[in-house]
This record gives sequence, structure tokens and C-alpha cells, in this order.
Amino acid sequence: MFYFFANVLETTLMYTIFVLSVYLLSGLTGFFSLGHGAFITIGAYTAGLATLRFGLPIWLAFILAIVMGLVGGLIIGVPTLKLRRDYFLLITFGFGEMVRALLLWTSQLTGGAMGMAGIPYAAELPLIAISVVVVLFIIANLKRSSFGRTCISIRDDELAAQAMGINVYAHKIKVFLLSAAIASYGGALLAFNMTFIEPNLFDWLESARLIVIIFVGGINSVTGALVTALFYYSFGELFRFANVWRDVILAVLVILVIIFRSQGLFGNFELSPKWIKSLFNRRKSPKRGA
Amino acid sequence: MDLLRVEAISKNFGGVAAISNFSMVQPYNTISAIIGPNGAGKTTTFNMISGVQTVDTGKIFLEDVEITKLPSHKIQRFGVSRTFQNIRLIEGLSVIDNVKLSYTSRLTYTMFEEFIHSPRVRKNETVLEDIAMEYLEFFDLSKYAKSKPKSLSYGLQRRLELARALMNEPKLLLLDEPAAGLNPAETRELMGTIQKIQEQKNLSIIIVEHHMDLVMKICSIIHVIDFGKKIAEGTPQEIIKNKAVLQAYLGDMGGEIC
Ligand SMILES: Nc1ncnc2c1ncn2[C@@H]1O[C@H](COP(=O)(O)OP(=O)(O)OP(=O)(O)O)[C@@H](O)[C@H]1O
Ligand SMILES: [Mg+2]
Repeated sequence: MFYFFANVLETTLMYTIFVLSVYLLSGLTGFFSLGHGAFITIGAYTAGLATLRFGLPIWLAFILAIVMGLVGGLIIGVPTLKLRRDYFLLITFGFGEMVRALLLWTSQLTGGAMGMAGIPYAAELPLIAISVVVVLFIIANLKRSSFGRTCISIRDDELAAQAMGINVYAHKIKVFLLSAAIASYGGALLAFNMTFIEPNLFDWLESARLIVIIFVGGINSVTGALVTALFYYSFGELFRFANVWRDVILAVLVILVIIFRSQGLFGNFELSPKWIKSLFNRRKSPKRGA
Repeated sequence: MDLLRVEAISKNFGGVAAISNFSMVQPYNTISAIIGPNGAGKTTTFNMISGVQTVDTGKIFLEDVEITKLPSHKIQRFGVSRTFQNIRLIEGLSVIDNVKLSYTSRLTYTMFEEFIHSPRVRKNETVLEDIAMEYLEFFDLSKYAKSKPKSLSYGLQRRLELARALMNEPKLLLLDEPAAGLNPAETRELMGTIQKIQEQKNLSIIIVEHHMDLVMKICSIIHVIDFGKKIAEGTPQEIIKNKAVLQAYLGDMGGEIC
């Protein structure tokens, strides 16, 4: 029983990392990628290949996964981030499919459709939990300083942002690379946790789901992305038999959010030490609010 | 050396000449104006100077450095700030964060320091907060610091755009119809503010404006354009008497000049 819950938690937390990586790109900066799964796949396969085929140590496999994610991010980001957002979406979609095709095509190395089994089990709950905390910490920090303000300005009005002295293109590349690096790191975690990977690990629908989760949580709230992701993926894992229902619930939530709360469930809310303190203060002096 | 020198710039939109062969010189510490009827090409001129739109032909110099082909973020970093005819504030950012935005290129911390919110980031952010607050106070906006721009009245939004444009301490400020949508009292107040800014900050301002009384009172040079061509240039007194100007204005704006 313990193993079952640990397993649920591990999977949920790894998917939460993916959601957080997409939060940077789609939530904060307003770019939608249907090929984000490709970075996860790249990370997973780099990890798998590095350890299984090249016998490299785990820590090096993680670093290589991040490097490959960055390389992929550069190849796709540099030519497309100058384009309009709809073209960006289409090209990332194509990129996702391309990576999948490439894995099938190089089956000698990657095992093709059979996938790759026997990857060392090296990502256990503590490592995954720490990873989530670190990623969360970094993203929350970025959001509250210049990086985050710049992202939001690009999301809302690129022309005005540029006229305010912001190198919009350079910043978009930074965001995309960071997002790709986090996703491929998460992909490596996934490989080391599941020990088996295959080319359909993360298709475009799964990528789209990441974006939807962010919109339900609220594009201005990391807390929203976190809570929605934890809830959605743990629900799916805990109630495997009712797996379809989680998408039904998500779909209903999306519709409700769009109609009644366009800023997402969490709006501008962020969970912070300050907020927690204010909660206690309110408790202590209940008359103040009246 | 003049602050800004514009040499015969032109811009076409699919065969329509929005502005052709426009030249002007903007000295230091001056307020001047570009006026002209609707669609004359005033905004297009501003867009080219600020790098928001590319220049088809002609050249633009800032302090004798050519900026013709530079993208707008570089031009802003050289010290040219602007406001927009249809206010363009960032809705997702609070009032104070909008002001901070135009200071971004001057911050010295790196992304990697932001990862951990290092002491240097914290210090920079505190200083930035203070500077931004000063600008908000100058424009009487400090009590809205944490609100979203959408919650402000039109007049306050215009002031916020002005605060944001000043935040990077520009040498040249381009104001595209700053009084559009303001009532007469607000317009008068704005005139005073613009003059005060010019004197305090020692900068040069170009205003595009329809309110003739505003232009006449605070500008020392006026450039008049009509159908994309410059038809007159001079002091307010000279412009008032200019026949071509009167004709252009009587054509479609009638009495506003009187
Ligand atoms: N992006 C564009 N595409 C096509 N035509 C344009 C574009 N921008 C401006 N124009 C045209 O160029 C001409 C000049 O426009 P501009 O906006 O510079 O005028 P303006 O003097 O600022 O007018 P207003 O007083 O109405 O603001 C107009 O005929 C306009 O229709
Ligand atoms: Mg205009």
C-alpha cells in the first residue's frame, strides 16, 4: 500500500515539474507549444541512452539531458520565436511529431517502437520531491523580479514591451530554453523512475493538457499551476479505473473557468510566507476585520 | 550638435505615402510640436523615430549617432522614450510594475541571481521600488501602486504612461496626443506637468497634439504636416499666420486653430 501511494506521489510530482516548465512559457509569457512533450522525450531518451548504451553515470546523464533539451530548444526557438504565436504553435507541434518519428527511425539505437527497458531505477521519491521544490523555488523567484515582469509584458503587448527597452526576442529565447531545460530534466527523472520509455511517452495531447492545467489554475499564479497539477495528476493515478473522469472534470472546469473566472481558479493569488502570516494575524484579532 | 536630426524620412503603406521626405531638428531642452489633421502621418513619424516601425528612406540621428535601423529597445536605451496615442499599458502588471518595466535594461543583476533571489537582486529591487515610487508620487499615482492599470481612469492612465516613459531618464520624450480624451481642466494640468518635467529633467520633448491651445502655449517650434508632407515650420506666432496651415486646418478641422 505504501508503495502504491509513493508511486502515485512520484508520478504526480514529475508531471508537476512538466506543468511548471510550461508555466514559464505559456502562463507567464503567453506562448503555446504543442511540442513540449518533445523536450520531455528528449530528456528521457538522453538519460536512457547515456546509461544503457554508453554506460555513463547517472549524474552525467542528468546533465546531458539538460544539455540536449537546451540544444533542442535552440534549434526550434531561434527560428520560430520571431514568428507570430500561431505559427510558433504549429511548428512546435511539428517538432514534437518529428522527434517521435526520429526515435522510431533510429530503432537500432533507441529500440524504436519497442521502447527502451532496463534503465536503472535512480529517481526515487526524495530526489523527485527535492526537484519539484527547487524548480518551484526558481520559478517563483523569477516571477517576482525583472524576469517575470518582462515575461508578462511580452505576453500582454510585445510592441509596448520593446518600446520600453526590452529585447523581446532575446527574452523569449531565454524563457524557451529554460522551459525546455526543466522539461528535459523532468524527462530524465521520468526515465529513471519508470525504467521503461517509448516514443509515445508524451504526445501532443499530453502537451496540450499541460497548457490547459495552467489556464485552469490561472496564468498569473504559480500556486494555481502547482495546486491544479497536484490535484489533476494525483486524481488520475489514485482512481485509475475512473481515469476518463478526470478529463471530464478538467473539461467541465475549463468551461466553468472560461465563463465565470477568466483569470483562472487562483487569479493573482500566490502562496507566500507573508500570506500565511496574515492568516494567523487575522485569527488572533477577529474583530479587526468586522 | 542637435539632440535629434531627422533627414528626409519616408514611409509607404502599400502605395499610400503615410509620410514623405520629412525632416526636422530637435535641439536640447526644447518643447516642440508636430501638428496636422487626422491621418497626416504624425504617429507614423513617431513610430519611425522610436524604431517601432522601419524607415523606408531617409536617416535619423540621435546626438549625431545614426539610429535609423535600430530596433526600438535599443533606441529606448539610447534615451528616447515615448507614450502611445492609444494607451499601451501592460494590463497584467500592477501600476508600479509598469513603471519599473522601462528601467529593465538598467538593472545589473543576471538571470542566475534571480533564480535564488540573491541579496544583489533584493537590493536592486528595493532601489527600483523606491525610484518607481518617486515617479508615481510625482504624478500623484502612488496610492494606486498596487492596482492594475485597467482600474484607473483614462486621465490617470495617461499620467501613468508618462511616468513610465520618464522612468529611464530619457533625453528625448515623444508624446503622442497626451491630451486626447482629457477634459479641459485635466488638459490644463497636463500642460503644467509637461512644462515642469521639461524644466526639472532637462530633457527635450516633442508633442503630437490636436489641442492647439496646448501646443501654442508650451511649444517653441511647431512642425505642421498635411497628407504626409511638411507644409510649415516655425514659432507659434509664425504658424498662426501661415496661409498653408490655415488652409489645411480649415479644410477639415475648422475653427480649432482660432
Ligand atoms: N500600419 C499601417 N498600415 C497601413 N496604413 C497605415 C498604417 N499606419 C498608418 N497608416 C496610414 O498612414 C497614414 C498616416 O497615419 P498616422 O497614424 O501616422 O496619422 P496621424 O497623423 O497620427 O493621424 P491621427 O491624428 O488620426 O492620429 C494614414 O492614412 C493611415 O491610414
Ligand atoms: Mg496618430
